[in-house]
Amino acid sequence: MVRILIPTALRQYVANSSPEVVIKAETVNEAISKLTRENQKLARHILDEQGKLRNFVNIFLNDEDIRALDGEDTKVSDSDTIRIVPAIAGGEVPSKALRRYFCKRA
Amino acid sequence: MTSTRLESEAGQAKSLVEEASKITIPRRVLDSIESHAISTYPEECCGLLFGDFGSRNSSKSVARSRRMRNAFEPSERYHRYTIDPREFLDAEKEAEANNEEIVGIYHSHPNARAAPSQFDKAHAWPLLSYLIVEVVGGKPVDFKSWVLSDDQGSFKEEQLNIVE
Repeated sequence: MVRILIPTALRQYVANSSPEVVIKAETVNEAISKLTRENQKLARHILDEQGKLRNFVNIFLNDEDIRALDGEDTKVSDSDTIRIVPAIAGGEVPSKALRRYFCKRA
Repeated sequence: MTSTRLESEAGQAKSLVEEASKITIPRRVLDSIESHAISTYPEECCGLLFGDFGSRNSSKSVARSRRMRNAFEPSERYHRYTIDPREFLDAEKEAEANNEEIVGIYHSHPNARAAPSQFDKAHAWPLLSYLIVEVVGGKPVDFKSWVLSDDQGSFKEEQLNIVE
């Protein structure tokens, strides 16, 4: 059984708002698939329309980004912990006039 | 989102979104965030807000902030920020160890309003507060906090309760 840690922002979409879910799986993909099947409100926040992990979601297996392993095909074993880590990004397009004026002075 | 619409949503999510409409933040934390925004100008700064979400009937509160590195490519930092996933993971662990939660993200908008952009919305997560500082000419002139609606369709401004 692999342990999946749910980030605070998404716990409300998991049964009992649980911070972790324990699932039997052999790969990361199987674990995430089971998790989202059992918690369908969670699916739209971490999966795209094709059912693939959204780009804005990072998955760590025992503190290792799965992109550095075998991606979603990474094998998991009973003592493993999967963490769903939200990608954090943003920003604004500043007013061009203001930017020209102030960036020259900065 | 109207209250009628909320009532049709799942009860638990509804309650959490309504709970997140107020945020209490100490003045010293805001001062630290403004100093960070000044120091990175004309680039965006970013950081995390630690605290707790409160019980079902109370509001979110911030105990402290933590400055994070803007990991976006340097040429784009004047209008973009991102936090390295591993550094965010470390911050999550720090919060767990201190029995805290990451309740929000802050960032600055150099020469732009303290309102979420489409890019902010596309990358936002439910429940978390998004505190934005508007910086004009190197000086912070406004700040506002926002929370994403449960359907991810819009941002709602939160009531900021600043305490000494």
